Amino acid sequence: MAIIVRANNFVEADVHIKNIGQLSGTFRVNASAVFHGGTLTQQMFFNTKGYSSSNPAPAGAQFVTTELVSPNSIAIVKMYSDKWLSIWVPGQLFDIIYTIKVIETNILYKVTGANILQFST
Amino acid sequence: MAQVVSAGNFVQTNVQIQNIGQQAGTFHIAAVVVPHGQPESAKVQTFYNAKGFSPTNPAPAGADVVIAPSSTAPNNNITLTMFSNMWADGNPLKYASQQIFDVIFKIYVVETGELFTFVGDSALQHQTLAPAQPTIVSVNYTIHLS
Repeated sequence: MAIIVRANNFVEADVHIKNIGQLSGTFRVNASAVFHGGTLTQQMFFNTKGYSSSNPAPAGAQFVTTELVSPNSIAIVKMYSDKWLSIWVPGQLFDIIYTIKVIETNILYKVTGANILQFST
Repeated sequence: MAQVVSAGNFVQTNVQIQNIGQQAGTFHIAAVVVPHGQPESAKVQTFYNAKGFSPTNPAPAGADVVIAPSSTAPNNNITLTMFSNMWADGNPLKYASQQIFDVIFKIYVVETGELFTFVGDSALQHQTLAPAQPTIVSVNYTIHLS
């Protein structure tokens, strides 16, 4: 069941990330909302709430980096969408694509949450 | 070249001892594993006279000494077999990835009461641990009106 988002809302995502490796690691998280099944970013997530076209995010704000996470531990990352636009078709479904980079190994992991958000007028 | 050991393994060592003295002697041997370059007091694993000792199956008293069945004549060799307790207690994270270990052997000569110590330098190496890997276990979403 998708979560309803209206124009001018901000979406907060509390992402629980578990380190399933055997060595500690630092995770840099980036998230974006795309049309369901698409890849083109429609809305971004940032490390702070309140960004919009009239209050643009500074460089680097699209990344949230964890502390060093030990094996089997969970880090919680908070991210906030920019102000939700009003240009979407009512009922439009969005996926959220998370890209997590492991700083120590430089490996990127991509996770897609399908049909997470739905625009409503 | 160090032997790589994974958590849960048991290391068997067959120690060939030669009596380089001029009289027969009876040898008792004990062996421990220490991080490379550390003294015996830093032991992290112990070798025993039987395989299978672990946190759930602790070794009985005296099992850490292997006793030669008979005296060894001068210039003769004897082979004694020892087994480590379960490596890292079955926990891969107990030691650092690729950590190097020495094995310290102590051989006691019953007839003279003398103790001889030998170090097997960098004999063992802990397994390579998998690098950090994230997985998202859950996400909570909250809508803020402004």
